Amino acid sequence: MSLDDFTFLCRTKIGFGMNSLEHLPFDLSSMGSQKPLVLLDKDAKFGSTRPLIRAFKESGMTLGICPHLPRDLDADKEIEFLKTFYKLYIDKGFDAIIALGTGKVVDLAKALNIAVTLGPDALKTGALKTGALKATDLPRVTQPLAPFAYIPTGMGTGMETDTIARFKGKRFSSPFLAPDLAIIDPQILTQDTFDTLINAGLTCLSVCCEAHVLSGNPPARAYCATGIGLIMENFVPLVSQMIASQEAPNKKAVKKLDTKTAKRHLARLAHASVITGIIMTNCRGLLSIQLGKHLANHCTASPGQAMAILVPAILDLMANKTELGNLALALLGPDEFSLLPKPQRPGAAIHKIQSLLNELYRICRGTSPRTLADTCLDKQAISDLAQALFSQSEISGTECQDIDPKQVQAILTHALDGRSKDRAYQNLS
Amino acid sequence: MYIPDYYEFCCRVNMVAGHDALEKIPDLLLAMDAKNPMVLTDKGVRAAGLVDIVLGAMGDALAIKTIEDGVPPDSDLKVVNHLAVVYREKGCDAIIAVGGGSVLDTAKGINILVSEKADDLMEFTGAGALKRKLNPLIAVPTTAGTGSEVTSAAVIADPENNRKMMFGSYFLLPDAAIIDSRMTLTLPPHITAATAMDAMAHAVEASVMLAKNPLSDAHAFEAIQLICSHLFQVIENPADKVGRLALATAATMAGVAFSNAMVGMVHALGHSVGSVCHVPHGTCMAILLPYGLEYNFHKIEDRIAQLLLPLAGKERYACTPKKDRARKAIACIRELNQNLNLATNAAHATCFKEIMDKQGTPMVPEKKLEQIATTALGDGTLFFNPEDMDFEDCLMVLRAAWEGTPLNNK
Repeated sequence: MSLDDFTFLCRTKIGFGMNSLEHLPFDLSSMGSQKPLVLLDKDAKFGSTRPLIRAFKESGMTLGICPHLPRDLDADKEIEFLKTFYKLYIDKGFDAIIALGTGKVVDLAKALNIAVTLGPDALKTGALKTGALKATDLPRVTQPLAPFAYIPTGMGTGMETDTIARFKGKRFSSPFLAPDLAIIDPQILTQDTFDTLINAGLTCLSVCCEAHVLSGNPPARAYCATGIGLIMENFVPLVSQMIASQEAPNKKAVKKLDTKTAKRHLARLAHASVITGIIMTNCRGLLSIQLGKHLANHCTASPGQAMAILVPAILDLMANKTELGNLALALLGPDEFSLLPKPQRPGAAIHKIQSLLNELYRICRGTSPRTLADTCLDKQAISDLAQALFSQSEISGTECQDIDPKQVQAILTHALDGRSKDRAYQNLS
Repeated sequence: MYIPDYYEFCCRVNMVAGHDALEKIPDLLLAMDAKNPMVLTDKGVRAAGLVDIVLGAMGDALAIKTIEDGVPPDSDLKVVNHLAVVYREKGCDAIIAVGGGSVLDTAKGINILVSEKADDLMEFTGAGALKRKLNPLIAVPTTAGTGSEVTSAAVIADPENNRKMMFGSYFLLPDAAIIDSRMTLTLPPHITAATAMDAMAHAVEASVMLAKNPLSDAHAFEAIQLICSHLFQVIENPADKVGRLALATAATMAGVAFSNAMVGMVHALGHSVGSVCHVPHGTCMAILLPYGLEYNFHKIEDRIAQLLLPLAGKERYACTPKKDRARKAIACIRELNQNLNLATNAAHATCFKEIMDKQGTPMVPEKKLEQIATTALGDGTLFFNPEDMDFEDCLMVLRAAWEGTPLNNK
């Protein structure tokens, strides 16, 4: 087990389980808040706030609820909404922020928190750090922001619990931007859309697997192992259930039958995405993220799919066998793992991730890619693509492992059809 | 994966680990707008030269206002009040606490008074009395065992009124825990063994208690694995910096695990042996740990079986039939104690009757077991134990642990 110098910080308290929302008023009041303002996701229907309102009913606290964000939230509208919410927060004397939903609404809540605590100019003048990030960078925000709770309504990609806020194309980073609380309550979860779920599930799996093997950070490894376990036990079953529900002749019956199980799976996956954000914060420069999000612009895969296709190749090329063997334990669980002879464990880890992609391909009727070849990329494009990804991504200037364009090319070659690293390198020469 | 219906997990402490982690203290404090810290420690830590190492590593980036080494072995209200006055008079704006549990508890008490601009700690006792972030506090643990650098509680004694004041709030958590291999390099083998077993007891109990959850489990397993991989290397070669860092990391992670999943009867009985007979806490933990698992065996066999993986390693786990894994895990802990006994020339005791003071007098006379059992019944940690305990149960476990014979589960 490798042990390097490391730092680890997670400011987010996690509350998980049925009725965990009921603890939220106490948690917020213990941070001095009496009047939180709720920002709603584009998909949050008014009904989805009912459990939240119920939780605050006898708390003696005042809950303000903003109108939900529109689906097409461009930069201009983002500013408009922020101004409206800012005015509301200040004029009505709110003292905490709750983001209900995943994705954009959480970024907007973080930006609002900067504005209401440090003044709106902080968003203009760059009082916070922007641009390429390093874990060693020190936060410029030296005081805590207003209490901030995040309540997922589905599986996020992890950005929600990260210490980064994206607003108007800028990135702001500070440990104080992470939510103080993440409350995962099955009663408020609404089933994600199919594409969102696949993208989020594969993003989280890739981040957890790469960080588990390559971070050398024991607390991060503990979080990764938990995240991987949650995803492996719940992701494919939920996707299968969604497909079965869509294809069933009597849809109502299937949905009714499976709602409880589906919510249980979704709650655990939402938990995994909360964990993923914490890992992203503490393990900057993961190659799967750096390469995957840019690769998605060049092929038919979503960023999460691109990451999951790349991660077996990244691990095969960059990881040592012991760490890869340890990953097999997290992916397979102790019972299946204990059946494997030691030399087979690294291969089993890689194979398990690839098998999951193959299984998704099967249950999604071929719409979820297994390899880069399934995303309309061909062998001839690899060399140029490697060069493009190397320059587009933020590999240089981050804490990524030393990597050159040749290695990026080897990763892509490996991912093209999931072949072993030896053959990928052979192909280069 | 065991997932309870409801759980919470929180550790807001920035863990900064490495062979030169102390050098990062100035940047951490400056990032919080603090540059005039008080350094708080006890006389033993200072005499061991550890404060000098901290000061040397920090250079002159900070204006250290005062170094206070008057923290007693048990944190004390009078000392807290006095040091809060010193903090204000010297114009401090942060605390760097170098030491173990008592130093940390004292630092937390001072921090409440100076941050809340208060004179009476009583106003803040209990859970949830604090409502906002306190002044910057950096913890530098020096024992690799207690995990108090990541716990959100503090206990401060008030001898004049014959009471112990308990404080609980996430705002008590230090802003950063500095895990530096240099802080434990000089610990002698038997203390290294006892403190590592203290951390082991935190991790093992956290992973079998009623309040366990997947994240506390993951922290606990990682901690157990780090201890098992590095403890004997460090005992053999105390200058093993990588091993020292691993043990210190394990202690902090075990602290995170138990502060979220709680501990049970091993700690209840251990606290009582400590308070009645003044036996070091780590020694009590090492002796009682296998008994705690045996006593709860019928309720948590599955959980104990999972411990075999980090305790014995992947190969032994794979070779052990499922039905034998729990018993084997307990045997592993006994084996660990036995091997530590050999490696420390018997300084690490394997049962209570073996523990002697400097004059060679037994520290735990058999006649005191009843008093210890009575004291244990008042310990709050019993609440989280999977199986209930009454006086007779406590006495039965203590007698077995005194003799060094396994519990008869039948």
